[in-house]
Amino acid sequence: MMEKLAFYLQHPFVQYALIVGVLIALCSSLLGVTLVLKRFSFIGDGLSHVAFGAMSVAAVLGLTDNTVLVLPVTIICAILLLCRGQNTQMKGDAAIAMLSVTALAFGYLCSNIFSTSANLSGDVCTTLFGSISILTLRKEEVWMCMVLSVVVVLFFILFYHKIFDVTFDENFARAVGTKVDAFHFVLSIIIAVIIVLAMKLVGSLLVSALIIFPALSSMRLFQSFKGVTICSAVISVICAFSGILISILAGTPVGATVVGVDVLVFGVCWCLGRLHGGE
Amino acid sequence: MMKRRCRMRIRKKIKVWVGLLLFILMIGCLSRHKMVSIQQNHKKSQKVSIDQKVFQTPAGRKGKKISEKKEKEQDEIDLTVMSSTTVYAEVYNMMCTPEDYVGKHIKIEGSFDVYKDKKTGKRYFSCVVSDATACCFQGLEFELKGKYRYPDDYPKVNDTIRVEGTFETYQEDGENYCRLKDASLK
Repeated sequence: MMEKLAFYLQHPFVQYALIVGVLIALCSSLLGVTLVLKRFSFIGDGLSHVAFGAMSVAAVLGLTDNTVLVLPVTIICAILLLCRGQNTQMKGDAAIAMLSVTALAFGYLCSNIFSTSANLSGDVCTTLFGSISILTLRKEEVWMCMVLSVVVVLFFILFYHKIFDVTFDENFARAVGTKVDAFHFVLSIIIAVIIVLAMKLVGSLLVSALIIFPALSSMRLFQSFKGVTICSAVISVICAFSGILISILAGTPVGATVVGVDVLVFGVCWCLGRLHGGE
Repeated sequence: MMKRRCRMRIRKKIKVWVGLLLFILMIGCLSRHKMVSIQQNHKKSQKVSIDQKVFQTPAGRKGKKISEKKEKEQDEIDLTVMSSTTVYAEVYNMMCTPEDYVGKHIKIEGSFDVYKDKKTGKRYFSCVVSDATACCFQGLEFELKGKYRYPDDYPKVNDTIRVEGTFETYQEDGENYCRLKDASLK
């Protein structure tokens, strides 16, 4: 087993997959805690479907690098969803659902009508479930991911206390002078960037798992925001790393395997939480 | 006073949007920037490694053998011992960055397939592999060494075959293609 693992680790595409997978898992887990506590768990799904729609349009337009269209569109939708305030006619979950299904349907419709691919269903399947996207990364994409991950982690470390305030009590944060609107704006951009990156690891349909499961697992074990955040990051990194290795060794789809490991760890954490007298 | 506050708010919004645009542009530039340096390309093209020049002692000669063995392993890619997920990914990478694989000896196992060009009448033979979900397929063309006649000397379509050959790129009608040359069927 170890020899086989060493054999696979010699290949550059496996090294890239592990580096990027771990970084994506780390970033998504850090922001996942905030999103879960603010009841925005499904924003990952919504934004990933928007990104899928933008990818389809980019393919139809013949753009060689779809990031040029996907990232700005996803960022704009993230801003629209997260910076809407509390007194709006359409609440958060309805807005996410509306945007999500519209983008998914529109994207698939565009791909079918203006098909530019020889294997449309295969491309759609790969984008939706992330079976091998993480294993076909170019060096430039790895570097981009590393830079963006450093930016996200730095943002989280530098603004940790403000994130804590805004997560638990927005009105209090506003009262003590925190620019809550600006914070939401920056958070929207960062979430959009992470979602677009995370689609490479687990695909469009399973992105929410990367955001939700590590946070929920750590909430079974720890009560403080700091403890939950650190535990969530550790769990997410371990699950992503082991999920990628298992999929490579066993020949299973990468995205589904990573999510499977996340679910397993959630089960274990839930049991441990119950044993220690938690809810 | 009110006008001054409005102006300040507008300036703040402009700064934020400019910052956002710059951020998006930065990401766009990063995604296009090629990180392969000229030094790395030069090192790859050198056949004799620097380490080999240092190995003169008996222990060093053993080190030289290990270094030569490592070079041989790097020149050979055996896809028959890898899982379906990694085989598909490796073949996909061969199509995307063929320059990294030119000259390497490739062993691959998959389904046999043949395509006949209606304009030229030429036949192209390939070994097709699929990913873990079997929804995506990737084929690697091969050209057998020696004189072979289709269909007598070739397997049936969709038969499982094992092919090995040297990876190369070639041009046809102004397009670049990849294949295994001097291939043998097993």
